Amino acid sequence: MTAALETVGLGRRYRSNWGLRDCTLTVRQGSITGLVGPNGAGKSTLLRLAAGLSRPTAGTVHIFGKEVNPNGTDHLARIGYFDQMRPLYGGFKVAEMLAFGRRLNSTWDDEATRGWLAEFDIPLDRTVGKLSLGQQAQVSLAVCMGKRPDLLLLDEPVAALDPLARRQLLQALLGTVAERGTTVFLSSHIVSELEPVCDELIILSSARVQTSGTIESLLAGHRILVGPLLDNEPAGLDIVSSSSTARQSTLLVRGVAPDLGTEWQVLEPGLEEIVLGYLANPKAGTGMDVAATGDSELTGPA
Amino acid sequence: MTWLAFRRHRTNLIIATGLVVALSGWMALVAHGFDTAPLKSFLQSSGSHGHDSIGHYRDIYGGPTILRLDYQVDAINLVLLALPCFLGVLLGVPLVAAELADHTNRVAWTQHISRTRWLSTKWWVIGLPLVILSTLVVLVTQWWWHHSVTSGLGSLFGTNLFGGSSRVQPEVFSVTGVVPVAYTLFAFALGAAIGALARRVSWAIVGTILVYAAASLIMATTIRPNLAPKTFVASTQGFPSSSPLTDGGAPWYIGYGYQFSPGSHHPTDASAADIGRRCENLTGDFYACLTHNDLRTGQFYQPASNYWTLQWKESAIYVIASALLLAIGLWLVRRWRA
Repeated sequence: MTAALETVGLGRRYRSNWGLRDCTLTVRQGSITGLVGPNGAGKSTLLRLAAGLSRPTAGTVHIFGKEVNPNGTDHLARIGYFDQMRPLYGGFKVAEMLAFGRRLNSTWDDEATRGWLAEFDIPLDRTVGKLSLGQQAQVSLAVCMGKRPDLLLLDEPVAALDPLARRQLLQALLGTVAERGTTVFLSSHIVSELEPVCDELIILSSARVQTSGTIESLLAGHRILVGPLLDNEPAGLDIVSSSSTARQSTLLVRGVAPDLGTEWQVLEPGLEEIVLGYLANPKAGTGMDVAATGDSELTGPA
Repeated sequence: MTWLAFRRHRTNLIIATGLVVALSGWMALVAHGFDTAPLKSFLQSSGSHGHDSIGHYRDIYGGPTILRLDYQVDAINLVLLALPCFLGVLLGVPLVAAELADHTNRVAWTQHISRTRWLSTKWWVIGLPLVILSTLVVLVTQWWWHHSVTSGLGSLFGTNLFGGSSRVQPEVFSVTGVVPVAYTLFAFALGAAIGALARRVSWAIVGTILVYAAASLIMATTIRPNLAPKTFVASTQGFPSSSPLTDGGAPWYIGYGYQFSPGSHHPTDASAADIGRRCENLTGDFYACLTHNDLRTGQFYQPASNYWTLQWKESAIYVIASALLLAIGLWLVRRWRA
C-alpha cells in the first residue's frame, strides 16, 4: 500500500538556517500519526511542505505516491490542511466560510460540515472574526473536513484551546476520521495530547527526525535505567539521553537493557519520558529513523 | 473563485465606487457654479478677457464665490492627477499582500484550486470594475472640462487645469483621453506586484506610490515629449499666431534647443543639440559659433494636434508595463512559500 505521506531527504532552508533538514518519514494510510517536537523544531515547515504551500530546498514529498507540486492541484484534492494560525477571512460570516469551501472544491460535504458546526453550537450567521479562538479552530477544521480529504494535515489543531474544548475537538475528529478511514498527521508540542489519539509518533527536533514508530513499539523499545553515578557511559548501550544527580544516574536507552547488575533498576518509561529524553538530546537518533520505522513495521498496529 | 474574489475585496470596491461618485458630484457642483456665477453674464456683456477683468469683477461683485470655484478647480485637478495611483493602491495592493499578511492565502492555496487561477480570477474580478470606474471618471472629466471651457471662464482663472486651456499640456493631458485608464491599470498591476513582493500592506503602499510617481515623472519629462514629432520654432521667427502649431489649442512647450538652418547639413554626424551645447561651453563668441555651424536657436513644442498620437502611444507603454507587472505578480505568487 502506498504511504499517505512520504518524504525522502526533505529539507527547507530559510535564508541561512534550515527549518527542516534531511527528513525521511512515512505516514501509513489509515493511521493517526502524531508529530511532536519543541517550538521551532520544524513541525510547521514539514506540514507546509506536505501541503504544497512551501517548496522543498532538498528532497521530495509524495502524497499517496504522487510528488507534490506547489503549483499543481493534484495533491489539493486529497488533503485537508489546518494551519497553526487558523487563518480565516475575518469579515466573513461562518456560512460564508462554508460557501468558500463549497465553491473552491470539487467535492464538498455541506451537510456534514453544518452538522459538525451545529454540534459545537457555532451559529452560521456569526462573523468569523468575532468567534472565540476555539470556535475559530472548529470553523477551520470544518472547512478542512468538508473537502472530504484522504489525508488531514493538522498543525497544532488544539493549541490555544482549553482542556475541555481540546478533548471535544479531538473526539469529534477521531469519530469522523474513523468513519471515513481518513489518514491524520497532526502536530503538537504537548505529548500528553497526542498519546490517547495517535497510533504512531514521530519525534522531531532541531529540524531533524529523531525517531518514529507506533506508540507500542516506542514504549516497548525503550527502558529507563537508574543506578549509581557513572563516570563513563557503559559500552553496549544505545543511550538516548542521560541525566545525573549527585548520587545516581538515570539513562534512557533504546532496546531492552542488558543486565548491569543488582545496583541498577530497570523501569518502563511512559511516552512523555521517552519524548522528553529525545528532546533533551537533539542529536540522539538522527540518522537512525529508518531502523525505527522498521521496528514499527515489525510490531504492527495493535 | 469569482465569488471569493468579489467577497474578499468588495469593501474596497465599494469605497472606490463611492469616491468616484463623490468626486463626480463635486465636479458637477463646480460646473454648476460656473454656470450660475454672475461672472458669466458680466463677461458676455463686457466681452473682455484676462485677469484684469477678474480683478475688476471681484471689485464689483465680491470675490468669495469665484475664489471658491477657483480653488476647487485646482483641488479637483490634483485629485484627478492622484486618482489612478490611489485606486491602484486601494485595489491592487490588498490583492495579494493583504492575504499574505493575514495568512489567508494558506487556506485558499490548500483548497482544490491552483494559485494561477486564484490570482487571475482576482485580476479580472477587481481589474474590470476598476477600468470601468476610471473610464467613468475620464468621461466626467471630459464633460467637466469642456463645460467649463465653453462657459468662457476657464482661461480667466489662471488655474493649473485651465492655464493654457490646452489639452496637450501635462495637467490636462494626464486627466483626459485614454491615459488615465492606462495609468489606473498600471497602478493596479504595480500595487499587486509590489504587494506580492513586499508581503506587507504598509510597505507595498509606500512602494507603489513611489514607483508610480517616479514613472509619471520620467514619462512626462523624458518620454512623452519624444512620442510624436516635435515642432521647432526658431527664435528669429517669433511665435506664430496662427499655424499648424496652434491648431486645436496652445502647444506644449518642451524646451529650448538648436536646429540646423534649413537646407544646411553639418559634415559630421553630430546632432544640432550636441554642437549647440559645445557652443554654449565656448569662451569665444557664442553667436559666431552658431553661425559657423549653421545652427539656430529656438523652442521645441508638441502641438495640440499631436494629442491623440501622444495619448495612444503613452497608453500603449503603460498597458505593456501593466502586463509585465501582472506577469511578475503571478510569478511571485507561484514561487512564494506561504
